[in-house]
Amino acid sequence: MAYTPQYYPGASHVAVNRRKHMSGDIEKLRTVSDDDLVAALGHRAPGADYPSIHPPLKEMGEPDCPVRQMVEPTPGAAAGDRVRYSQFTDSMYSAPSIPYFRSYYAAINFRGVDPGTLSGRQIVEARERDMEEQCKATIESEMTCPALAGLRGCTVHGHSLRLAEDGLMFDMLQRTHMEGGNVIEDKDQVGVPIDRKVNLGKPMSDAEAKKRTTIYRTDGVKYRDEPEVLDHVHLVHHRRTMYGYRPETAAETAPGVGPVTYHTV
Amino acid sequence: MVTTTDTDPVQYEIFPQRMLDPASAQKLLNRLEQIEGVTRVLVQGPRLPLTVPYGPGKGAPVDHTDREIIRVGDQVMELQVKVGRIRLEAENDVMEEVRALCEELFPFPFELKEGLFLRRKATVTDYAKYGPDELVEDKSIYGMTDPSMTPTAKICESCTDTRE
Repeated sequence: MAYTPQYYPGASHVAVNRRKHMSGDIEKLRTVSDDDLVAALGHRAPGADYPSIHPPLKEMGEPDCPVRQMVEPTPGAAAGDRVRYSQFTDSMYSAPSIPYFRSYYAAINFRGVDPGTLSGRQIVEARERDMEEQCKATIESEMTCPALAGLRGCTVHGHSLRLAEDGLMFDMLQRTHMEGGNVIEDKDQVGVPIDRKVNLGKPMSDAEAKKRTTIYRTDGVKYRDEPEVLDHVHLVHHRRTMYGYRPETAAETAPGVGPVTYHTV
Repeated sequence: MVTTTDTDPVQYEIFPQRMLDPASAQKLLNRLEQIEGVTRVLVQGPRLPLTVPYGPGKGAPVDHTDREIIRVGDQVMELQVKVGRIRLEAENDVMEEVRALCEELFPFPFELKEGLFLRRKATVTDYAKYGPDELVEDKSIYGMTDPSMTPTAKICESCTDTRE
């Protein structure tokens, strides 16, 4: 039987969602056209060719290197694309994803991406077409609610502020607004107006956002109510604290010793 | 040290669960103004800039729809913030009136607190802006302005009503 990684402990729907995000087994909820995505990212004009920083690898004549022969380059690297970024912000009010799980999703499921995880934002740097592929998959999936998450290259502080009356996360650059029940993006990720309205679809209802969230909150699933997660976090903390870079030498938590229970103070 | 006496005005803070749209803020402020005894009202929230302040898009116009001109009583002013909390001072206890008003206007929960939210004594910044305390005629200005505001800036008079 093929091994299926579990990715994350826990029994609640928040833990299930975290496992889904890490494994890449996520539901597609909306469709954003390639041109719309390119316009929202703002790195090149929609329909334009990908600018390159070096000739395609096939034309360059690479050195005789076993690693290069083993590792197939990503499409962006093979074509010599520029390195570009996409950055997401997720509201603390039960947004579907959070920076850590966006990074897990990118790092586990895509090649050639460099995810950066910060408290309020998550950035992915990659060759342009690789980044667009990852960004498109993210923005079209259940990892993104157009009201509670946003493509924001700068000014991300809305993630920690209360929502507006219409349920949108605060954005001082107002990259998105509600129009006929849909969230419309009419600026690129750094706040420069674009010549089109990118329809990101309807925002999630409160109930749906709470169902799809990966955030433990006191008004949802409490972190303290997830004993398996707490136990696992304690285990990792204990091993890293007591055994540093050799956690496998931890005698009391070695395989076969039995469960070790940690008690939260 | 600031001590509070029975003769001091009381202060309240309204903290709605959602940040208010300009129309809701205008409605609330107008109703607050009608409550007898309310002397000062201050709105606080994240700033809405005119242009992108930093990043690759620096300088691009923002045109935020929440940066709207509102009319409160006979004053017309441009909202420069998304209204997140409202602090007010009254000469007498108006807690229940304010609570009833908020319950009527807000379809979402809110917090209403009594405390000291607007300072009563001049700070060093106030001294630098307005001069010695004994020379300041209207002491109600303390705590009512943006700390980064320049001394020459006006609070309301620079705004004009462009709606009509």
